[in-house]
Amino acid sequence: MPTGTMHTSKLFWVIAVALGLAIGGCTPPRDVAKAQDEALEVDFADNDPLEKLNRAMHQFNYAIDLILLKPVTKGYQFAVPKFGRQMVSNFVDNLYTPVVFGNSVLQGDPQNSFASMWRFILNTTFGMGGLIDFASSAGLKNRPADFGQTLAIYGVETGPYIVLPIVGPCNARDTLGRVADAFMNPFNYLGDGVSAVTWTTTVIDMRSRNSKLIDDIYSSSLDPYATFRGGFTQKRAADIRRAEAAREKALERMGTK
Amino acid sequence: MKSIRSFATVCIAAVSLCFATASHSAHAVGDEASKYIQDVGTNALAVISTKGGTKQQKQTQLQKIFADNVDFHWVGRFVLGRYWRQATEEQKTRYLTEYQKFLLLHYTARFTDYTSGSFKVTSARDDGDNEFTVSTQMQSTEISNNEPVLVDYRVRKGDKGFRIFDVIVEGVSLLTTQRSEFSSVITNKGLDYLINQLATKSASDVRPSSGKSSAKKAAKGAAE
Repeated sequence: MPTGTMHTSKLFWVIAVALGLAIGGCTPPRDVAKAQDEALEVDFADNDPLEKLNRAMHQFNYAIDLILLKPVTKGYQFAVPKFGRQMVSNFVDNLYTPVVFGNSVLQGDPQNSFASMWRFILNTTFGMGGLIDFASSAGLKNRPADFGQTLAIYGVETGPYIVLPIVGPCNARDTLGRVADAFMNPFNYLGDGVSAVTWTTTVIDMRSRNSKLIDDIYSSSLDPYATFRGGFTQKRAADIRRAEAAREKALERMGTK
Repeated sequence: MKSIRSFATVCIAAVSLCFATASHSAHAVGDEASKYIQDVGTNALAVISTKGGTKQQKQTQLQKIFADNVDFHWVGRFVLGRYWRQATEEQKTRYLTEYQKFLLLHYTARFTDYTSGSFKVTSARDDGDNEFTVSTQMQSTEISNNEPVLVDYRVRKGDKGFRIFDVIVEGVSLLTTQRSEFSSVITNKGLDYLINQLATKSASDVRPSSGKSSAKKAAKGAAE
């Protein structure tokens, strides 16, 4: 089968190129080699000078996941029904809403500043301390914002890829962002006991939310480290593009731009 | 003077006609691409949401849909990157066979975890060179928060109609991710190791066929 398709696809390209040249001025169709050359520009390994250290940290995280996080998450998913886990997710999201608000203000995004402020007020009160995402049904959707994003919008470069303990894939800019967000979050000033509980809840909730993806990568990737690195880098870039687009749109609608 | 003006008018008319026909035909093929994805998606969804029938049966049906609509040959070559050109003919043949098997098993297994869902095509973009990006929103009660997941399909129109060559989920391209994964494996361990690993994964990744109830439970537990 491979040789057959190869032959026909080759023939197809020849015809297509000839047709393209005949029409004139058209760019010839992208063949594999050319596409590969283009794609060579994005090799995530190039942005990973600390790969050796990162791989060691990845191994550590994998071990922790195997002996602690995964079993705890499975137990959690077994013991708590879906709607309960959804409440926990809502609660965790609500805890971070002040951070979303702060960053929306810093990013100069009046719409999300307004939305996140009201999300926090409505969900904390009517949503029973954030367990129910009351604001979403009122049309105030959650649009996450963090300091890593804010830095990106300010023009700060991504910096090298970094694997953090427990939380995993990150980069220099987002590491700084995480630290700033932690300082920005009022819930982190309620004492070490509260912080420990919220942090643990966040970690388990995140592991549970992404359990399918994480389990899948560990089980089927030929090099989970590289998959996490590629996936995270692209996801972050896409999030930032989306945040920027949403902000532009909001500003446009307000007539300030 | 008058002749210059009329010449200019003719030029403008000709140019605008060109643009009009160009944009019109691009739009038409864009619609075609959307319809293609709509059809493939509807077929896949029909298999997924069939009541009764084992996961194994569903997986076989999904494999057929995938095999018919994914340009494995192109994708396989692309994800190998520069190593394709360095490979021997024997390696290339073995690699493509194992790659297709791996991808089919792997992705259909992933889809059988879902039992319901809906999706809609939101837009289509003409990328030139007969390539299109069709954006869709997928929704399933099995996805946390029931938030729509944004999935872009990159398709190319060839002699045998449309074929999918990349799937971009929430901004993460399967092609790009797998390419960097494979490149990393080959750099560290070599191409033969990669091919053997693909074969091993396919052999071990025969998910829930036997011991149904416990496997089903596990899958259900991991469904979020």
